[in-house]
Amino acid sequence: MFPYLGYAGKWLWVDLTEGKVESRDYDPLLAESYLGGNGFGTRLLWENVGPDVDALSPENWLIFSTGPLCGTVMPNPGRMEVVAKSPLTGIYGDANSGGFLGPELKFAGWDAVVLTGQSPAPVYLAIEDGQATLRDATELWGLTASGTEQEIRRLWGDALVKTAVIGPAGENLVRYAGIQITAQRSAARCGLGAVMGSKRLKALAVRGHGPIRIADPKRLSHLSLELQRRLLANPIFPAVSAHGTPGIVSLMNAMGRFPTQNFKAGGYENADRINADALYSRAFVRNVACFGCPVACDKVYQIPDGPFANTSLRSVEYETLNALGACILNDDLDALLAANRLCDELGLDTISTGRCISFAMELWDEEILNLDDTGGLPLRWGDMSVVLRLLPMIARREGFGNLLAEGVRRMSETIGRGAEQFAMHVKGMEIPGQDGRAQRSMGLAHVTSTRGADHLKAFPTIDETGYPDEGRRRYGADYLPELVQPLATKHKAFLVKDGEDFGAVIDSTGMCKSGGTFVLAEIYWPDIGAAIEATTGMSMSVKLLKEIGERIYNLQRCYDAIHGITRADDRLPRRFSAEPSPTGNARGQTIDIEPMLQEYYRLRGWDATKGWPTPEKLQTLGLGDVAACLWR
Amino acid sequence: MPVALVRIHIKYHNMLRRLTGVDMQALDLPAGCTVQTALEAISRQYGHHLHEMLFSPNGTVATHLVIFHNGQLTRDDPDGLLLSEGDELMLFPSISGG
Repeated sequence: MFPYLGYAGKWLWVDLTEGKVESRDYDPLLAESYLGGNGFGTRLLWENVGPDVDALSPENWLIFSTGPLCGTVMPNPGRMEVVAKSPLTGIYGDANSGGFLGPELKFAGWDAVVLTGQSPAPVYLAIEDGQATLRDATELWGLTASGTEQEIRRLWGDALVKTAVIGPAGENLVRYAGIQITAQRSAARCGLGAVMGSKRLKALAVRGHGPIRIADPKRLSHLSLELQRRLLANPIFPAVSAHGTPGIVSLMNAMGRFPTQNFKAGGYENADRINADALYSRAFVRNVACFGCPVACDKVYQIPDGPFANTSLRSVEYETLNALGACILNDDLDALLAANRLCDELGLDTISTGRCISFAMELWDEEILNLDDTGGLPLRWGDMSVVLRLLPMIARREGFGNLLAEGVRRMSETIGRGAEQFAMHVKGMEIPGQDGRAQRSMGLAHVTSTRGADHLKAFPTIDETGYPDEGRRRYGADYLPELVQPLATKHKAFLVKDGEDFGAVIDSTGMCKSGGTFVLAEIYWPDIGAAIEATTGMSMSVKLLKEIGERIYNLQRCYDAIHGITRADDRLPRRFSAEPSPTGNARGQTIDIEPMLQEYYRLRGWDATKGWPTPEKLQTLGLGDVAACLWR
Repeated sequence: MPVALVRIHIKYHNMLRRLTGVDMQALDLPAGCTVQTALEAISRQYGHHLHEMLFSPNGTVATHLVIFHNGQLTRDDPDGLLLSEGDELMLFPSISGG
């Protein structure tokens, strides 16, 4: 008998090769040591998918995993984690999505779904409360993301079914294909849509009607109300709620932190044409929210007229405005939104897609690529007619699109001729929309992230522009002013480590990083510990919770280590250290991550030569078995 | 005797733009004015909703207001930061994310 509430207490095991679906009991020890979500997936990946497994082979595991707070009355508890070995990077991979699928899975009575093998023909997994079956998806194969979702709803006669689907990009094993989650959200990064495609799994479809039992409903209710009060009282809440992540475009542009022209600059002269104000006045229709979210940072947009008239979409994010805007020198907002919608339909991660295109455009500019290479497509900066032609070519691996479908690192290796100096990735993952020259902690975060270049593992928001009040409240006055200064290096290793551990916990609970934990910075360790106690009945001190966060993050690093990652891979592309930023508040700045990295290894208790967690460190985290494997 | 004036420009973003209804404005202020003077002037012009975004309840400039002075982020005391003819201020709520 699973002893904790808040969990369903069981998960689904699916062998796609054999067509078997089985119920498995949730291991209480796993819950106590890893919570769920991200931690659950990390442990299963470590135990079952070794270095000899190709990410696109049947032996890779694909893990959809909720956490104990997912679907509860906590503010913003709608997140779900997807974990697998990444076909883009070849190391640990995960992606996280909001929406409604995670809670729906819990209502159906399942904490997670774990899939392995490869189906002989396209299938989708249908989950209706306690019943789970594999169903033929031959007729769905080839459909777009929204087309698949609509068809499943039609087949079920139920408009409320929640899905996770792949588009053509996932079917064709594009290495950065994402998974589209109801409603028009994405588990975008690391190419997990390609893992799904490799298993010939077109979709998960879930309908659940059951309750989530709470250990101390009164305590959780009071805590939730208190947290919602704090969020609503935050003076920045109206701005975050009004515009969502697009609200930071012009601010980051002024900071010199808005990657422009494949990171040649950190500021775009036409950023105001693709910022939140432009988006709002041009296409805003209404606010929408993920499950249980008081922030409602999501919006529905529709282009009112012109060549892309009536194109509608939601979840337009800062990252996409950067990747399909400034980074390719595009200031045509309508074309950007049309490209965003097309990526969503094809099932492409907009960040990696945009970076592959900006990389190709720079190579064109440098005359490393020519018309013979591109199949006759001129890759001029900002030419959205070419971009809109390229997107389906990438998703279907047609012509030049087949090369772009491999991601920046493999593109640079294939093209050669000096292309690698313009390849903006860390460990094979395309760098998202930050620039370490303008915010030191983000430079470090890109390097120490366990899934390759990423802002969301550490998510250092405190020093983006300087949150002195939040910095003082969270860390104490001793860390100020440097901790909140974007260009200072002091205390940044500490900030990044704390963010990574806290983020690992948040991604393991089912909570959202944009809904008060990192953005707005109102909800922190003690609140999450209290919420876990009230929900599950598990005793959870801050000390214990921090240890769980460390355990998860160290295990991810060990997973990378057994795949050959060492200290030598912890580096940024040369551009950031050799080319001073030409614009904004960061004008003249470069970044040297070495001092911060040294401090980071020291704080982590990692071997500074190899960049691996030491056996002693792993022992203290209860990971002696991992130490024995890594250091044998 | 006429008071010498300097003309500055203020750019608004996000909620500040919504509250003012403009993305940019020119403002004539007495020579020797500071950033604080400029914020007080626009606060008077646009009313209490904008005032709440610019100032803390104790009357000091809000820590959640991000000010760029001639393109550079400033965390200096707004009351000690002198403005000159042609200066530009950009004002943002201190949002983060992404």
